[in-house]
Amino acid sequence: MTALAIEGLGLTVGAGAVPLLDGVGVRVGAGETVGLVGESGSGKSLTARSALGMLPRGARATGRVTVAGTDVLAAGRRELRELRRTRVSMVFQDPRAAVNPVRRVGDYLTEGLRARGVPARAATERALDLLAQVGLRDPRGALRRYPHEFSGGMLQRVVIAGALATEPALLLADEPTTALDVTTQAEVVGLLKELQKAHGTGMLFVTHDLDLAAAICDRVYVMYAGRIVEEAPGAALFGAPAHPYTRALLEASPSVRGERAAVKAVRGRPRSLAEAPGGCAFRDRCPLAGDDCARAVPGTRRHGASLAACLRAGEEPR
Amino acid sequence: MTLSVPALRARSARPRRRRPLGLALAAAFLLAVAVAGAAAPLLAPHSPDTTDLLGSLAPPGTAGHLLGTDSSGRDVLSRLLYGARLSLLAPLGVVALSTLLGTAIGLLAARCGGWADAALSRAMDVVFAFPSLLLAMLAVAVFGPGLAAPVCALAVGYTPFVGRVVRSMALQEGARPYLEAYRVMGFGEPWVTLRHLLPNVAPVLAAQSALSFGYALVDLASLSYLGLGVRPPAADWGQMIAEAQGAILQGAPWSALVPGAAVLLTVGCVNAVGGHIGAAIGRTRKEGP
Repeated sequence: MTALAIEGLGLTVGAGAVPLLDGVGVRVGAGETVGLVGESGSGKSLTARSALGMLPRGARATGRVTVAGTDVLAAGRRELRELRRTRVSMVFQDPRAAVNPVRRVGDYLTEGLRARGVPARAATERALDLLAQVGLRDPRGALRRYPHEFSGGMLQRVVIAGALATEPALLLADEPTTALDVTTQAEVVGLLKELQKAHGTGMLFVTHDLDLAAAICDRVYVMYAGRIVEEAPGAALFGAPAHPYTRALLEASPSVRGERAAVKAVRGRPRSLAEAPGGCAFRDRCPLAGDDCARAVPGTRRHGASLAACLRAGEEPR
Repeated sequence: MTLSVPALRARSARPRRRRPLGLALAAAFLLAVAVAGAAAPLLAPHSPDTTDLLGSLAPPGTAGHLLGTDSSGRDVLSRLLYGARLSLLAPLGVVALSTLLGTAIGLLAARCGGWADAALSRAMDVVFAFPSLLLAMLAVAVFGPGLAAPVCALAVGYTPFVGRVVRSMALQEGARPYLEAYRVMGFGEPWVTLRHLLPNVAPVLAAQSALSFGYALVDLASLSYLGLGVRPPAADWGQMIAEAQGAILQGAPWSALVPGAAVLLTVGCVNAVGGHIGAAIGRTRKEGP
């Protein structure tokens, strides 16, 4: 079964109907890891949150968002709560901020289970099992400790344990490693992958780190200004980026492999959908842009292993 | 895969923060006053209401009257001890009521937002515009003397102070991701607010309560002094000061000075403790938990 299917999701907010997302389509299969990559403000977090039915205040959505068979946009309050309780979980960016500082870790882990009617003793057993799974030494002692007694990496493990407590069909990871240092990052990502595989959970991995996404994801969606501009298998992304934006992003990140090459910044600054130019949103920053790019939003076309929303997909810059 | 938790050892290594001596003294004094009030029947050498006109205005140190007697010959120490009960309980009532009301209003305003926030905040502004003491006097004028009316009126008067603090704290805390995390887990808004937001606001609430207590004690003493609080012969400190005014002119100031000092010291100590709680919160917020 598909863990998450977003089809043609559009989002506008406020009286002026300011557009935030347009025609976003994302699919996450059971047990699949899917990356969602883009600069700040490209709408990747908004897209991930739509899977929880958490839209900005006063937002109007069009299209369809389906999570494990539930139509999220049409769901009522009770149905949404049930969905969040049982089928979707989220791992946040900064574990320090995402865990209530005045509650013990044990309370944090068992509260969700208790709310589903799991008896106290069984919930504690489950929490112990989860803490052991995420590699915490002395899980029993950890239950009694407060969040500030853990390091950032350890706390993120606790958060991951909490996210998996309800055996969700879909795990949303919203930049789960951004707040951690590099060695901890690798451990946490490894752990996420390992547990996801073991539990058969579909994971939507939101990040601005293209290398990380390409390394761990089965498929990667690249977002720009509230639209998906490229969809490619993780492995193919590095070898043959189809969309000029993806290529620019790759060139903008330093590499420790291969020859020494200058890091090229993407020219201009990221646009939100509301202030992006008509036609292709990337055309004012694109080295390949021509007059035809302004005519309409380009449709997706197959290029190699990728699907890219670009008229000149795969062309080298002049 | 097992990993150590280095933060474990941090707890024992953290140096103990030394508490200033003044704070300990203030806390000890408050505790002593509370015990004295509670155990008044055991500690008081005389009945607080027994008059002895022949032995009136005895100076402190007179045999059997440690703090002397007032103009009706009643033992000042005994009246002071019994007076502690009303003088402490009534402000406590004010604090409890205003904290309850203020927390409810502040949380509602912060979490609902929009027109509910606007309406509640403006309502608090209106109450702010009236001095609490004036409200209390109005209540006495309408409902007659006695403690119930001024206590309720003062509670209403103090509610905006609590409400505003809670509202701004709730707004500040409400923006933090851990509340979002609970919503993502499928918990409803009331549960998240009461069970997770409120405990994080509670320390500030405690500091605010301590300050309110000091104000309430002075306000209630003022009312009693004006003859609008407790009804004679029941004693509280404000009323004792009022009754002893005449004695000052007769050259016997102690019967007014003793309850006056009690009010002063108690309020001072409450403020010291409240201030310390506030400062401690400031420190933790700066350093992180």
